[in-house]
Amino acid sequence: MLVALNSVDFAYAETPVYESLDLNIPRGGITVIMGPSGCGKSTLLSLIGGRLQPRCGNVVVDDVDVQSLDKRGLYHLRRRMGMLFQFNALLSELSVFENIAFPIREHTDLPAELIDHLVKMKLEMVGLRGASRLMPSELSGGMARRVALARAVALDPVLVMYDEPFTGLDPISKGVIVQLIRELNDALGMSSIVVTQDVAEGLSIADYVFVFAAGEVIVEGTPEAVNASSRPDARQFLDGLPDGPVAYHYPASDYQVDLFQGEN
Amino acid sequence: MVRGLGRAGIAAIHHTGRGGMFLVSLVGGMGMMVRRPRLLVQQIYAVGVMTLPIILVAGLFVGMMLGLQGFNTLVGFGAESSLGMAVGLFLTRELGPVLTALLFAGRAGSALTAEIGLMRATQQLDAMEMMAVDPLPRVVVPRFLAGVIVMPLLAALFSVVGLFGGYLVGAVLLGVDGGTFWSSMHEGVDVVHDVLAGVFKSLVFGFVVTWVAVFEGYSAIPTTDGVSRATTRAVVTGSLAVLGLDYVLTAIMFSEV
Repeated sequence: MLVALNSVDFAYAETPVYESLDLNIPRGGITVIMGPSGCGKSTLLSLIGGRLQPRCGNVVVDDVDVQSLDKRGLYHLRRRMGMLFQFNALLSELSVFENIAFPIREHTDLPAELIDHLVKMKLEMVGLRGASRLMPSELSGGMARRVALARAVALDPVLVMYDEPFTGLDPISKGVIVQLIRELNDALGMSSIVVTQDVAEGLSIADYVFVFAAGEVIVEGTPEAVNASSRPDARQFLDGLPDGPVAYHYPASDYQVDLFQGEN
Repeated sequence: MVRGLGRAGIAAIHHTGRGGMFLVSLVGGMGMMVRRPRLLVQQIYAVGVMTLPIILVAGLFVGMMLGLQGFNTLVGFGAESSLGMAVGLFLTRELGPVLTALLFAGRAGSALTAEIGLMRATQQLDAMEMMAVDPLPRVVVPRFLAGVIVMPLLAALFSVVGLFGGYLVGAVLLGVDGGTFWSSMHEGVDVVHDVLAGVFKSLVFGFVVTWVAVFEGYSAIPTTDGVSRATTRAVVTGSLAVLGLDYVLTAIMFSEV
């Protein structure tokens, strides 16, 4: 296994997210984590990346216990990880070229000519070699996502994590990102974890799927097995039903009482 | 109300304590500046050179105002020949360091807070951490050091331009003898006691204003409102700290008692 969460408890202040969560993500291939908003998908990536600490249990990445690492050890582990953020998180003061060169410059002493070649290769992979001089503010949403993707794989990591890679993109850009994630994963021999709410794209790209609800895995398996699930909470999410086990209404007092007697 | 005051007091102490810890981290991250001085040079340009126009213009006007007010006051005692000394002392001891620091807090300090706060809000700092790059030495330390370095330089330029403004009004417009203006300044302003004391003041102000600015930006709540509040807090806290420290430093350095 590349990533293992063992009996992980995690909470934001008094709001619990996971209670005794066990999860194993296989090495190689693309693992997709799906689920409704607020179910703890992105938190999972933060735990794997060591940005958050569980209250109990441990997170093991590439045979290393993440919580046991000091800052230096954690940074050493992160050099083997890449991450694509939901809003790209491109460094706004650097050009497209410099954004991709950033992790290479920071972690290697490669000569400028070689860095130039490496960056151009990454840009060519995402089809943006011609946009290398543009600034992040000059990019469309789809282009910025592709640049962020190229930066995430700049150091040829073992594991790449994608946080909502399809959010806010038009259908063409979504298709491009789906294709790129698959191609990069296979061509570079990486493992990928994709956190997404987009069911169609998620299932189309996945080798293995976990569906989360309320901080726990409700269904897991191949895309076909997950799609065939008859669990009501899984079906509600996969079919996009507005009401069901995940209630449409936020918990509230009786409507009539609230209207005619309630103060607020 | 008492509970609210207590809670606010504890929050303020907690915030100050975090600021102190942040400063310790900044000092710990300064090694990178030796290895990568280019980062510092870039920030000296961004923080210092970009603030220069406002400092020069303000210095000129303040110097002209001092020349006018000083002349109007001194001429009543027949002491307008001391105008150069008065303008020189006011600028080097007080107005140069203090006004430069206040202008710096408003222009460069707010920009530093907003820039770092927006980097936090747009996950750029998180992205750096995930790329195994510590944002503190990479982003914050160069900005902090740049602020500390450029403040005395800006204050010195403020004073120089201010002296010229005082000369312009006092000597050129109001008829004080130019040679008398400069010689009275030469006699009345001491390099160590006045000029270097002013430089020391501006060094302290630069340290405090930039520390507050980068800390507020780095610890800003990562939302539009959070960055806006942090920017306001940086300017207000930095400006008040400058005025408070100015009294303390003046009392220590210039007190005759």
